[in-house]
Amino acid sequence: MRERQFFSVQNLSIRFGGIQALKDVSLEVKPGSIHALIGPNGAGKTTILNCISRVYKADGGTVVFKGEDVSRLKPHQVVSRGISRTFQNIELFSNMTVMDNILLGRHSKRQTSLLNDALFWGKSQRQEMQFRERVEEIIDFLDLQAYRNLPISRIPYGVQKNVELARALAAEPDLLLLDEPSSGLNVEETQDLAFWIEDIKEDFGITILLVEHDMRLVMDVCDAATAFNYGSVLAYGTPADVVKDPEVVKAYLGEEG
Amino acid sequence: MFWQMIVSGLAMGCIYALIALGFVLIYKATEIVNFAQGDIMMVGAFVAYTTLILFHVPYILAILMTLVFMALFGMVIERVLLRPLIGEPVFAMIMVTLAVGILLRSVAGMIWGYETYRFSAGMVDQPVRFAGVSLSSIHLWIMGVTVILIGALYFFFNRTKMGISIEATSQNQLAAFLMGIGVKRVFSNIWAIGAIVAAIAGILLSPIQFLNYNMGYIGLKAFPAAVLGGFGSVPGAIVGGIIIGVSESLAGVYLPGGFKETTAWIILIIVLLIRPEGIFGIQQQKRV
Repeated sequence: MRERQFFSVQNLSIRFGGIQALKDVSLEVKPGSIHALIGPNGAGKTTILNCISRVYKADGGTVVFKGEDVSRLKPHQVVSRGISRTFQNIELFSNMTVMDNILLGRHSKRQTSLLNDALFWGKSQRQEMQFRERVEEIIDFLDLQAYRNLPISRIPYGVQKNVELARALAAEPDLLLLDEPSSGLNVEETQDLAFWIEDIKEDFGITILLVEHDMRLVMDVCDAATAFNYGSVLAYGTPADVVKDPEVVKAYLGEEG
Repeated sequence: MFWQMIVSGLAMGCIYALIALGFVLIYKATEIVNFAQGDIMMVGAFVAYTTLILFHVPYILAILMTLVFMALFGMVIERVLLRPLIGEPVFAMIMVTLAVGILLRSVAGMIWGYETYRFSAGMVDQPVRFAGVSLSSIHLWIMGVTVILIGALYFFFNRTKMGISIEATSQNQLAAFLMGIGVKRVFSNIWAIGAIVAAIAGILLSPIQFLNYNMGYIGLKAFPAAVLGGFGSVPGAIVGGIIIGVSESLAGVYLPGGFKETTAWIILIIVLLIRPEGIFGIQQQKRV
């Protein structure tokens, strides 16, 4: 008897024109772990995240999350199943404030009626207060207090990345997908990020699947890693083992001459 | 005389504002400039006329039926003609809206004929004396209804879940999907709202103009109003509409004949020359 899998991808394939971006990719993420996807540029790491969050429609394969096949859902249904994500090139609502952006992370949890909301009465009021309390906790956690009421277009890039992370957390996911969270951050910001990622796992109990190029970050915080090249899995194991794998070394550095 | 002109300009400005609002709402959410907005307004006015005058439905019920019908009408246009074009160049969709406008005009001509109707839409025209000025009650009605409608829309867009979904979709569709927002439903709803606003504009316009298959041309004048306010800005559409309405009304009295009809376009050209982003426009900044 096999225990029920928390999250797994089986035989995922997708083709863009003549390019086979993913070929029979299978991987499993253990609950409560931080799992990294690594590989050279164009290996298909972001494509996997896009297939999971249904931005792309995979040609074949399944994505199973908590016993349910989520690979046939519509893109807007994914968040309600407990999967939220961030993007490599920040996708925020740029004319809204930091606060409103994070509140939108809880949008799928709004349960009040049109009239109730318009009058802002009873249940709507209680819900809004609950939401804002939760958002304030996240703001405190990610040190966003100073930016709370500024529009996204007026805050620095590194902070925007944190807002995106905050918005993904506001959805209270069970699985968090991070696409190159450290890209564009300086050394200090990357260190903060490493602590936050560990805290998200420890304190919030959220499982994390991330695409990352910064090998130091991967070695420091991740429990497992899967390496890719040309849309196929090269190696799987602890980050320390994966980087020593001869196939992985070859993919990064080329063949020994 | 001056104050009467101001008030009648304000009333006309409210109509422009409502049509411009229709342009802006649909544009914001879907990036489509709906050139059929004026003709949808005409259909709304005719549907109200049909239920009220031809079928003798009681007033409130007739208006409600008109609004429900128009909401469905907007949704059908979106679903049947525009949704299949998602992913095509925006230009193609704008051409479709132009075609829809022409189509509506001819079909309305076939159904209701080409003559001009008198239609008071239940509003009684009587002079109202206010601070020594004699005003038309219809003008006051128009302003009152516009203010209430704008207030209702304000609450809808800022408070309700669907309103926030529409706002989010207009800023970033991809992120909206990830927040659990069904973008297709948002498009459908915004067309319904656009058509409802147009129908109300049509019902308000009929008593001060005439009801005619060609009345949608007035939608073209709402276009400078939207540009003046800053295309894509809701307060801009309202302010722009009112400025156009009032200047047109004043131009009719104080400037030589012919200026009244061209005022809107003169304002449009001046705006494009000195402040192309409009009064409340946000200048688009792309990170390079």
